[in-house]
Amino acid sequence: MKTVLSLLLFFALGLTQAVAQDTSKVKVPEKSALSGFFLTGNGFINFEKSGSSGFSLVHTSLSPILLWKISNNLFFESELELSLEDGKTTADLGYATLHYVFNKYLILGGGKFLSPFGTFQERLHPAWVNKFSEAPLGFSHDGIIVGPMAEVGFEVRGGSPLGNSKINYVAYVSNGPAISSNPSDPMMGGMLESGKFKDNNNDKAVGARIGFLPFSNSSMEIGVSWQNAYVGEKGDSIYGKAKVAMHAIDFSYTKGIEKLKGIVEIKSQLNNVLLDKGNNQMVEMSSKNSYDVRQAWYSQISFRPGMHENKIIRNLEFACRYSVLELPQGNQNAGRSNQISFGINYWYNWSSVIKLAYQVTQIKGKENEGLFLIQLAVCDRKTGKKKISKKPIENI
Amino acid sequence: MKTFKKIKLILLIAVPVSLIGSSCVTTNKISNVTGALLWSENCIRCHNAPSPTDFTDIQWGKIGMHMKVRANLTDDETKKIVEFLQSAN
Repeated sequence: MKTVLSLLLFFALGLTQAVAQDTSKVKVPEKSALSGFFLTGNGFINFEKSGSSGFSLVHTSLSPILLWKISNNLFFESELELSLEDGKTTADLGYATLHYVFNKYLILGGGKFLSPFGTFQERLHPAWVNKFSEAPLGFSHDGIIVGPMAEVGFEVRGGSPLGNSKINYVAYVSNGPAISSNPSDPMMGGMLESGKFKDNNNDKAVGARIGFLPFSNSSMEIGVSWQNAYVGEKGDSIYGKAKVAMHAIDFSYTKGIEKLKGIVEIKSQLNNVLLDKGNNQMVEMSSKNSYDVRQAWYSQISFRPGMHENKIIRNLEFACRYSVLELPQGNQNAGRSNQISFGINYWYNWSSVIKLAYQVTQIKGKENEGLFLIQLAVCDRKTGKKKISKKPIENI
Repeated sequence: MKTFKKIKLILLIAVPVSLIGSSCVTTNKISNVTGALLWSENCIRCHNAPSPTDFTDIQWGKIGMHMKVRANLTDDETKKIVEFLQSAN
């Protein structure tokens, strides 16, 4: 509670000081100072084929994004996710966050934001960014997820040079995840849901991520994340005292290599969730362990020959990903599952791509499942101008 | 222990590859790096680098703020990248 109060106090003091600073400034109009709305967005269509069946349209989605620059310091961004999957249409608010740029090194934010727990949810999950049409095992909000996806609360973040290196940080207080308290539902088995607008207890979740970029060319980033939260509903007989400790480590390396005439990218993230069920009598009577551990990790490598002379070849991208999900007893697909995916992507321009992939998923006690996947993904761009693929990528 | 083994595995593979790849990197002071270079180095950390002509000057101002938050870009980087994109538009 002290931590929550300290952060809120810090937030309030920051705003007060910043407003005072603003009024004393003589504002000089700049190109980037022009405020107003900017509506952009992205979308995708997914097809898949398994066994002897033909290709089926399985998922289509459109996500309008609104960027609203209210002033040079005040900024609002939101994303609406409209989706049709398995015949079910959903509309979800991906994020809606108000940011205040307090100074060069500190940005304050509040609302619903993508969880800065690792980098996949916050930076890499959009279809036109992700190298594959599906998220790695344990990272998809459509399936079982290990770790939080979104937060509702307040955050502070920023980045700073550190000699020839760089460092960035995010710290936040949020409603935190909530645990399913229905013991008769074996499919849920204590599953955690994040991004809740109503806190199910009086304890806020506290989390942070620190990223370090050791090289001046920003090619590598190593990040460490952490979140602690009480997850049970207050007074609940089973999970009333349940809490989680979540940790993640993420790695990213992206570099243009002239000898290979292309860009190599390596991404990896490990999420670990330790759930302490509170060691109450109900848990003991049901002979379940008081603790359980859920884990998901992936490693991915991709190569795009973007400096090749041939236009077709330089727009191709080759990717391979291995992901693992480990769930405790009592959960759907308990045990270890793993998945390997191979993909070839063709970039029509910098933000429009067609992805072809083959992936094999192995779930303990089940037959291996092979799946062909096709995805068309686009992100908004101004049309009628030259494409980036007209000439080889240089100076990377 | 399993967790540590996986962390070690990830680091054992990724760190040497990155160090070899970056061994030829000139250590420019970040303050001396141009907006064009920052644009090419930072955008590709997550996605392809867009062309300056893909958006208008006003739109680049808003996108710059969005990316400053999303990718935790430093203030200096954001300003230089937006200025480059607007000047090359």
